[in-house]
Amino acid sequence: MEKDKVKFRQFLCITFLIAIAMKMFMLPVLLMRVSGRDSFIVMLLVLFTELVLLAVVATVIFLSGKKNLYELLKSAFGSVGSKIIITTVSVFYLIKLFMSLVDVRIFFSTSVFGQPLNVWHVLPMILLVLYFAIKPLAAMGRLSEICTPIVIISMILLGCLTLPEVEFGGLNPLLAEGWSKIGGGYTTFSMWYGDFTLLLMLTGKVTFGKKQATGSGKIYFSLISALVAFVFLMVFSTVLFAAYGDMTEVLTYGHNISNMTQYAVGSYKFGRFDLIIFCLWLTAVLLSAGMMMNFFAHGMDFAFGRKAGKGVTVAAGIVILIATALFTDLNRVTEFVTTYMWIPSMIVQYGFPLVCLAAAIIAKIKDKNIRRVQGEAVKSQN
Amino acid sequence: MKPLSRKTKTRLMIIAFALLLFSVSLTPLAPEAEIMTRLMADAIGIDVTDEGVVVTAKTINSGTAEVVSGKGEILREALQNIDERYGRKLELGHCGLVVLGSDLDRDDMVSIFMSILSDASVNAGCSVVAAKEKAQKIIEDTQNLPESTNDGLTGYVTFSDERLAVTVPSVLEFAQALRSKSATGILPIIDLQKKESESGGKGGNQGGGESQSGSSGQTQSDEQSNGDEATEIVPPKTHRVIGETVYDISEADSYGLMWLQERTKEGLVATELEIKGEKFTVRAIIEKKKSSIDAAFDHGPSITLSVEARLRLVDRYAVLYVVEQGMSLDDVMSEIEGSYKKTVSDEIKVTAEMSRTDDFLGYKTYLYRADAKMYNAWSGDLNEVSIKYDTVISVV
Repeated sequence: MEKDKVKFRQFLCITFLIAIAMKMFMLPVLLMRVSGRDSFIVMLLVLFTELVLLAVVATVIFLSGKKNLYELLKSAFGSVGSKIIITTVSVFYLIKLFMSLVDVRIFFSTSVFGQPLNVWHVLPMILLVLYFAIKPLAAMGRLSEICTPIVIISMILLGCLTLPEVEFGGLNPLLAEGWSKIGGGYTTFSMWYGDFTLLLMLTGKVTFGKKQATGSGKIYFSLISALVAFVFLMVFSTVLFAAYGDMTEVLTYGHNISNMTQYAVGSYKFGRFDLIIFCLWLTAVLLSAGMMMNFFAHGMDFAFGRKAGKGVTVAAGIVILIATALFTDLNRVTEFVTTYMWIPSMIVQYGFPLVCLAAAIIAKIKDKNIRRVQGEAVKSQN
Repeated sequence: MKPLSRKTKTRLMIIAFALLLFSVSLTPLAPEAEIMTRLMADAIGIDVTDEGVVVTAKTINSGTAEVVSGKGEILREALQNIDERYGRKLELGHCGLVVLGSDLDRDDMVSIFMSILSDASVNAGCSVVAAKEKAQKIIEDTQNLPESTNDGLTGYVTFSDERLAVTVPSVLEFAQALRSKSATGILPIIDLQKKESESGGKGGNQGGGESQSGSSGQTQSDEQSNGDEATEIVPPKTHRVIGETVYDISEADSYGLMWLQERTKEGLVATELEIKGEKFTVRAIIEKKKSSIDAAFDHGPSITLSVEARLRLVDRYAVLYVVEQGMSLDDVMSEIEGSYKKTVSDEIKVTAEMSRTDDFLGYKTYLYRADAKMYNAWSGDLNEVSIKYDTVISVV
């Protein structure tokens, strides 16, 4: 069904938006609280790892051909095994979706409203995200095509406003205390990495034009798309690292890159239009959250069947709503996740693509064997 | 799912419009717009007394400006006090200027700025200046500034940063300076004085014909129609150093800052030279300026202060007069350039040597950034630092 496919151009846009979505809020500030100005090196390492992850994901999509993710896993690990894997990963993405909403709440509470958001403020976004869960992938592809130019323009505008005023010399000296701070920063915040793993839901669903339906080497161009996104992310993060390098204790969970856009000369004179621009940038978060919910919904359909899956998805939406109402101390939530969830995050987000790669290779070998056997059978008949 | 029929669509549209109209009819019940419940601060002044912190804010609401103040043991309490006294929350998001009183020391300022930045209540790009004496007096006296003053004190300070050869640091820059290895900041001093009572207006003071450098002058004075004594802004030519000790430096000692601070632009510069027994005072405007401070550990800590500037003569007739006396234009310009180079180098040296005491130019910060290991091994005595000067002046 064409509605359940995305075009290659849309895949590039989705890759770009996912690359920045969750990282742009809290990650630079969280890193600074642990690694100080050495967060610059941690960020470089993280983004390099993300590119490697994307290369693995692209390879899975390339090798799988027309098989979608569930068919791939089923053919390699059987029905039960694949359902267990998909259910585990889907539940993880539900938690990650909740964290994404926590970041959004912290941003708006601190930078926009100056008071905590309650569940009614977040309800429209939860409903929108649930709506994404029932829409076909083509809708998300189209949305990403519309949002990407807006996000790029907003990032360029913010850069033009902010960068001329920054003293990048504040980034020095790097590694003044050696490599001791690097490890902590790299591992602790793994919940905010591994976003490209979501792209595995597009396995077997990326079209490359009429001549080739799926499985083209062009998929690796997504690495360029991600690289462009990472350049933007790195520039804005570096601004934060350089500016607050000597006073990391000032940074709280409420700080994020938008505080650097305040630095725009004259923004206090003309009003906080930088916030409007930053909100355009937020559309990336909306898409990322929608994709997480879509992954969860399709995962539940696969694991429990369509009818039961729909029920589970609605129940998940209600759970998120209740959790939003219950967990009001967002700093504690962030601390809990960074303390207890970093290992599960690393396992799922970096392990799942490797599992899928293994499945894709196994499927490829199986297909080859089947074709060889079929070929031999035809020869013997002749 | 079946597509909706035309009748159903029409009914849904009618219901939607009805709901919209109904919600509009409920607007009298809507709470007052949030902006009306806030005091929009344009500038704030912070003083320290024996009782604690005093915050004075110039607020602008619905085009009306007024001054409010609050007291507390710490900054947060003083701001809360304003909320309680006036029944409206003080909104600092659009504040463009922070004025610090003369009684604040470095520790006071560090705690104030860490609080401001941590809350993200004030824009990180907001300007910071020092008051000659009390910040409260400055904020209160801005009420009597003449109409012709560019957008009040906040606008004037922004203008100074852009056009008057003064660098006004932002909240973030100043906090960075206090928290850097140098742990010293420097602020331009702003003052308001009562206009001398005379009938009619006074002519503008152009900053003095003999001044070596600094502002090209901006003093507005006018009688206020409401009878209040008018005030005028004293151009910010002096500076306050905030380090282990807090002290003011004179206008003459501040000239080097104009050359060494990257952001300062424009400014009138004078030099005196003697040609064929005659003394001339030549004036030029800084057309283009580039400066840098580089640090290294070459056989010990060293700092290189580089300034490259292009000056445009404002009184060329003096040059032409000398040429008419028989000297070639190239020789005259060469003499002028030499004289300017000496003047500029002397001004820079005075400021650079002063900075050995309280490091307001940030030598330690630059040395730390250049080589953290060597910095940690060094004693930290700025008298050991060798300072090199690289001054290139061209005159057109």
